[in-house]
This record gives sequence, structure tokens and C-alpha cells, in this order.
Amino acid sequence: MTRVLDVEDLHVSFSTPAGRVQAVRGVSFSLDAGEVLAVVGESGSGKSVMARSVMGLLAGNGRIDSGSVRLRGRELVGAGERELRAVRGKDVAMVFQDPMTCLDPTMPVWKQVAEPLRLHSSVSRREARAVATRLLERVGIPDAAVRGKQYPHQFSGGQRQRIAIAVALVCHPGILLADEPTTALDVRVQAQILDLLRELRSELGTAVVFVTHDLGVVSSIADRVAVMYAGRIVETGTMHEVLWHPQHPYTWGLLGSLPHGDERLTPIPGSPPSLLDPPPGDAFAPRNPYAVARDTQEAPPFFEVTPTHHAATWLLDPDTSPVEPPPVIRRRWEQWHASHGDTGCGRDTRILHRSVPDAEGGSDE
Amino acid sequence: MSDALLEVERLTHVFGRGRRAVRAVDDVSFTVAEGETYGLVGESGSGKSTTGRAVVGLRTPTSGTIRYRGKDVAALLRDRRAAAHFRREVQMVFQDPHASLDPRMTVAQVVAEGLVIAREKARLTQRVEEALSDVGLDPALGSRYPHELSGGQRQRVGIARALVLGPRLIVCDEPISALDVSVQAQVVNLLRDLADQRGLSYLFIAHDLAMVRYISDRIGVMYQGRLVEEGPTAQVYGSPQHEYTRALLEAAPSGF
Amino acid sequence: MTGGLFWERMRRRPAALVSLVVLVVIAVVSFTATLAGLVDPVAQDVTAVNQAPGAEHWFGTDVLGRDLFARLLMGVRISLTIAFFAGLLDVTLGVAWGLISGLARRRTDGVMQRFLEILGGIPTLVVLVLMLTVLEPGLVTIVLAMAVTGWIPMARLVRAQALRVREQEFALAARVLGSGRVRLALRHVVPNTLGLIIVQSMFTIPTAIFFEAFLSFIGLGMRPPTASLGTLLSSGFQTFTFLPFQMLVPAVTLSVIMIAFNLLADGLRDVFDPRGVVAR
Repeated sequence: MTRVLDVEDLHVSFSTPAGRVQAVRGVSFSLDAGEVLAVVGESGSGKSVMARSVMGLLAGNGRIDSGSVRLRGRELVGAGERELRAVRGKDVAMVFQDPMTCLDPTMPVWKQVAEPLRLHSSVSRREARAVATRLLERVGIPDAAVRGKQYPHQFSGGQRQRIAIAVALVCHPGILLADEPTTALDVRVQAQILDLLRELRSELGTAVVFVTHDLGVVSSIADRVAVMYAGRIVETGTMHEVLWHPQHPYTWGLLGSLPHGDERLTPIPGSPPSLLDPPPGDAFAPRNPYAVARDTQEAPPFFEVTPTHHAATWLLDPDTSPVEPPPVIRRRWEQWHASHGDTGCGRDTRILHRSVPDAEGGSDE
Repeated sequence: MSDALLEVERLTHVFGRGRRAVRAVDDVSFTVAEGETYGLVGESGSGKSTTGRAVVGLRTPTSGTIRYRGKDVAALLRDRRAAAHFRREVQMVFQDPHASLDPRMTVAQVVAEGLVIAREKARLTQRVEEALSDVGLDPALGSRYPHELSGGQRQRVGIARALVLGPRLIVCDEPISALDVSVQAQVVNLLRDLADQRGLSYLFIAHDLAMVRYISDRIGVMYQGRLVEEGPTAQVYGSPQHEYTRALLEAAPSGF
Repeated sequence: MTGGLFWERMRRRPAALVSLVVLVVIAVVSFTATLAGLVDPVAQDVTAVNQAPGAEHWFGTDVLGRDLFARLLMGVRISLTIAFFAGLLDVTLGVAWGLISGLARRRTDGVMQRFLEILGGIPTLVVLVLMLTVLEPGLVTIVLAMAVTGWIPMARLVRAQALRVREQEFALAARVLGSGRVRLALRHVVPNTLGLIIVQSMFTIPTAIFFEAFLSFIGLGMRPPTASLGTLLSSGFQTFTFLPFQMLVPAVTLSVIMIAFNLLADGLRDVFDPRGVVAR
């Protein structure tokens, strides 16, 4: 497995009228060729900022404070604009939630698909056009030779996203960053785009970082998952591990917020914290029904559940007494164990009789 | 479940004229019983929002009838007293927590608006405070402005505003789409609790199939202005009849 | 927008703050001095004709020995009076028209729009000349001529805002709660447009002031012996080559007033800038 991306201890902040906001507070992850890593979080989690940092596409008031982003061993943090431009489009590309922000309304779409090709290689205009047309056909734009001459506004939202994907992949970059690419699309179109991404990923071997808030999408496309909260990764593992054997209370909360049959939803009370002045301990502690005293003082490190599955919660600390997760999660664990035998840490296999605080807590704030 | 609270009969709404006319809603009929939650699902352009707005009286249908408690809504709205009574019973919750509250009004003013318009000034402050706590908000938030509140809080204020007149039917037009996942669950729980406590009926318009399934007793599926399938929730999701419904359910990411 | 927030933001815009102070000072001085009779703009003194600025006559005297400082203050007072009426017209007629048009049914709105277009197409000068066939030149005529078209930009602005606000969800919510159009206009559109209204009227004012100065300069507005900035410019123009101060003084004053209003308007626009406070 070739390692294509290594992010280590990334810190990103923004200056706002109210002060400096710590959007990303020490995020580390890696990506291998051909794999899809889903980065899941709600607003304020820092997931989008992190994705943009990898491309060096932060807004004017944002900056990478520290950390490293290595693209096939090559350090991108601190690299000059020229170096970043050489890399963008060729080695790493990005697709956004709203394709209209990255498609030029005044340029025919074939030209936009051809542009990265012309920038990064020395193909002729005619050849670039041929490649662009083939690629448009491949991403599902019918009659691409004719429609390639049209402008973005003449296409539907789903088609525009396909075009944006074509633009991103025309130079066969090793990495594709997708920031909520299907959030603004209807369900059926979303399914088509996800299918397209899956196909292209296997054809081209592109690794994908897929930022989303939708756990359903995660379950349909991700190989691995990283759950982010308040600028940090709180849990990471394979898709099955994180969705079916989650260990972090925030992940439990996210899963509990989704409908499971007729049972009452168990949302997380309150709202995410302001990152102007992040608390020293676990940022999730105030909303965490399973918080322990230590959470307010010391942010938990990652504990290993399996070699591929890690969660940053004191609940996994050997000194903390085991806790019974919400019924929804317990049922998932049971399904997990049923299909896996009894692997993983043995903590959750003990049935506990300790009563657990009501995870819902009434009013927010 | 008693007899129908809301009857929509052959509702049609056409935008534009002549060759450029668009049938946003095309011959749609359904009923909502008292105490029932009717979920209306569809993708963008399906006409579900337009239908919701017609029910509330924000749009005049091109043709067709909407009846509330047996009376024609269009006729009700023409008479001042009947219109005021209708408005008291039928309310709406909107989608965008950022745009659904007037940024220049305090939270208390927003919630009180219905009472002020209806000239029910008696015990105004008290009723506003009750409405705020009914939706799980601290009444002290009344003196704040919308931009000081989170998205979830703003949506609750929108619900409090709709509740303060004591409605029987609330049209919820994508009330959770613009919220974070965990906040969506908070708001949905709140809506469910309110429905249980007060016997409210909802016309719940949304595109999130899982949430609509969770909260609705009956479901209507809309596609390009037409109601293509309708029935009890379990039946529509369990054995969908129309091919569009099936395509929709198949496309929805599962795994839960 | 609370008072405290307003001043806090104003403090960060020194150009606007200084302009505001300058205008207030000029207004206070000119109005009190002329109304309280502290200066006399019409007293002639044939012994002190065409004098350069000096100790006794701070800005000198004109061809009839009248104190130019006094005349200047009078001119400023007239200009500010015109400014006041221009602003008043904008805020009443312009806002009212814009609200009604923006919140009306499409057909009514269409009719009102056409009316604006026709009216706006007539050059103000033509209107004025037509009026002069019936009325005497003077302050009233000028104000009337402005009344015909000066409020049109404000009407367009308010109409655009009304159209925008009426589609916002909070406006829809108000309608669902039973609000009529009047309440919508006064409780929802106006508060969310207040900043734009103030700024727009601040921009209209220098135009109006200049309008008077220009008219009076070419002889269609105020006539001597009335001391308006325009008449001062006109008489100063005649002696410009050898007594430049007689024209420079009113010219500089006019420029200062206009620049001050423009800077103030610019600053106010930033102060009222929504970043979450006003509906977009």
C-alpha cells in the first residue's frame, strides 16, 4: 500500500473580529493509494478547513500555524504559491459542495476540463479537447462533443458536479479532496455521483478524502472514517469499525441522532463550543453524558481498540470503569460481534448494570 | 383519528403563462386527519413546498380546493374574521433558521408577533415566556437578537412563534434540513413531543427519507408536481408501488 | 442598532466622524448667527467696498461693501435648508412610494414603476424652466423642482429592498401569522432598510445643494441681494481675475459641505453594514 498523504499534528486558525479561532487543533491522519477516507463532523468541527488546508486554499484570514502535510513525502506546509500551484490539479484536486464556485460561468465546459491538462502538461489544444470530451462522456454528460461547448448554467446541479469532478480528475491526481460534494444534490443524483466516484476511484486508483456530515453517505462510500469534533479527530477506524463498533461518546451521539425504527432519537444536547478560546480538556466534555472528571482537565489521547481503530476518550482508559452505551449503540455492537466473533477490546462484552445518565438532558444551552 | 382536518382536492398551481407555464403542483389530492402527521416527500422541484404554502394560504391555487375543517380556505381568507380564526389554527414552521426570524426584532418580539397581530395583548409577556419554555428555551433569551442564537435555538424560536396562537395544524416546510445532525434530532423530538402533548397535526414536508419515515403516520410521495404514491408509512417504505418511490428508496443510503 | 454600537462604529471611521462634526458646527454657527442677527448679510457700506479679508471683515467685502463672512453664513444656511427639504422629500415621498410599489401586486407595481420612469426621464432643468414661467425664482421654486424628481432614486432603492424582504421567510411567517401589508412595511421592511434610507438621503443632499448653487449661478435660482452660495459664486465670478477671494471663499465652502456629506454617507453606509444585523 503506497502512502500518498501524511498529515501530522496540523493546527489551523482564523483571525476574526472577535479574535483568533482555532479551527483545527492537532489533526493527524494518513491516506493510502486508492482508499476513501470519510471525514465526518458537524459545523464547527473543522473538517472543511482541514481539507482546504491540504490544498493550501485557506481564506485570507486563515493560516496554518503548525504541523505537516506531506504529499508522497513532499512537504506542502510552508511551500510557496508557485510550488502549490504546480501540485494543485496535478497531484491533488478538490471538488466543492457548490460546483458553481469552481466552474467559470463564462467559459465553455470542455475548456474548463482541459485547463488543468494544458497547465500541467504540454499537450496540444486539440488533444486536450479530445481528452476533455472523452472525460465528459465518462462522467456521464451525454453527447459530450456538442454539450462540451455549453456553459455551466446550461446544466443541472448534478451535471455540474459531474463536470467539476471531470475538471478535478483530468490529470489523474493521486488524491481527490471532496468537500460535501453531494450535500446540495437530490437523493437520486447523490447516489449517481457516489457511484461515479466509486468507479473512478477503482479505475484511476485515486485516493479520496470525503468530507461530509451524512453518515449514510459514509456507509456507502468510505473505507475508513475519521470523526471530527471541535477541531480534533475523536475517533478513527475502518467504516465498519466506526459505524458498528463505535467507542467515542460523540460518535454514539451522532448515531443516536439518526432514526432507528420507532425508537426515540437520542440527540446530543447543547451546541458545539466556540473555538475562540478552546478549553484545555476534552472539548466535548460539557455535552458528554459519559464525561469523567479527567475530561475537563486533560484531553484524552488516542486509545487503541484494534490496530486500525482508535478513539480519544477516557472511557477506554484501563483505569476508567466500563460504561454501558445507549441501547442503539449496544445493538450495533451486538451485530458487530455477531459477524466478527469476539475480537476487539473485551470491555464492551461485559454486560453492565450501572445506570447511565439520560443522554438527552432537555433544553439546549 | 377522527375525520379529516385538512382536505386538499385536485390542487393545481401553475407558474408563468402560455408556453413557459410550469405546473409546479399538478392535480394533487390528500387529506390529513386530526392528530396525524402526514409526511410529504420529494426531491427539489417536486412541488411539495408550493403545496405547503398553498395550504397555509401563502399562495392562491390556480385550481382545486383546500378545505380546513370542511370549509373552503380561499373563502375563509376573504372574510377578515374567518381569516383571523384560520390563522390561529393553521401555522407554519420554515426551513432556514437564518432567514425565518426578522434580524431586527428581539426573540420575544418574534414570538409575540402572532399575538400582537391578533390583538391579544392580555398576558402577552407571560404567554411568550410559556411558549419559549415549551420549546425548551430559557425565557431569558427573549431579550436577545436572532444572530446571538445558534441555528437550533433559532429554529425553536420559529416553532414557539407558530405555537403561541394555539394552532391545530402546523405545516413544517423542511424544518430540519438546514441544521446539524444532532440538532435535527433535538428539533424532531421536540416536534414529536408537542404533537403528542397537544394532539397537533403536521404536514411535514422534507426530503430526508429517514426522518420523514420516523415522524410520519402517513406519507405522500411527490414527483414533478404529482402525488405518485400515498399511504401509511410502513406500507409505502415497506412495499412501494410506484417506480419513482422505489427509485427514491433505493438511492437513499442505507446501512442502518 | 443601539446608540452605543452606532458611536462605536463611527469612532472607527474618522473621516465620517470629522465630517459629521464639521457639518454640525457649520450648521449651528450659520443658523444661530443669521437668525439671531449677529451678522448682517445685507448691510451695505460704500466706504469698504471690495476689501480683501482682514481684521474687520474676516472674509472681505463685496462690490457693495457687504460683509462676505455674513453673506457666506447666510448662503450656508440656505444650502442647509435646501438640504433639509431634499432629505425630507426623500424620506417621505421616496420611501412611501418605494414601500407601496414594492409590496403591491405586480400590476400596481408596474404602473408605479412606469410612472417613475417617465418622471425620471424629464431633466430637472426642464421642469424648473417650466415652473419659472409660472412662479418667481427663489427657494420655494427650487424646492418644488427638486420635489418633482429628487426622490426617485430613494423610491427605487426602497422598492428593491421591499421586494427582497417580502420574499424572506420571516416576512412569509408574518403573513402566515395574519400580518397585512401595512404592518409588513412598517415593522419589517423599514427597520431592515433604515440604514440604506439614511445613507441614500445623505447622498441626495449634496446633489440638491449643488443644484441650487448651479441654478443660482446661472441666474435661474436665487437672485441677489439674497446671499446663497450660488449667488455668491455668481458675483464672485465677475470679479474673479482681480479679486479671487470673492469666488474662492464660497467655492471652497460649497466643496467642503459636499465632501463632508459624501464622506459622512460613506461612513454611515459602513456603520449600518449588516454582517448579520440587517436582512439581505
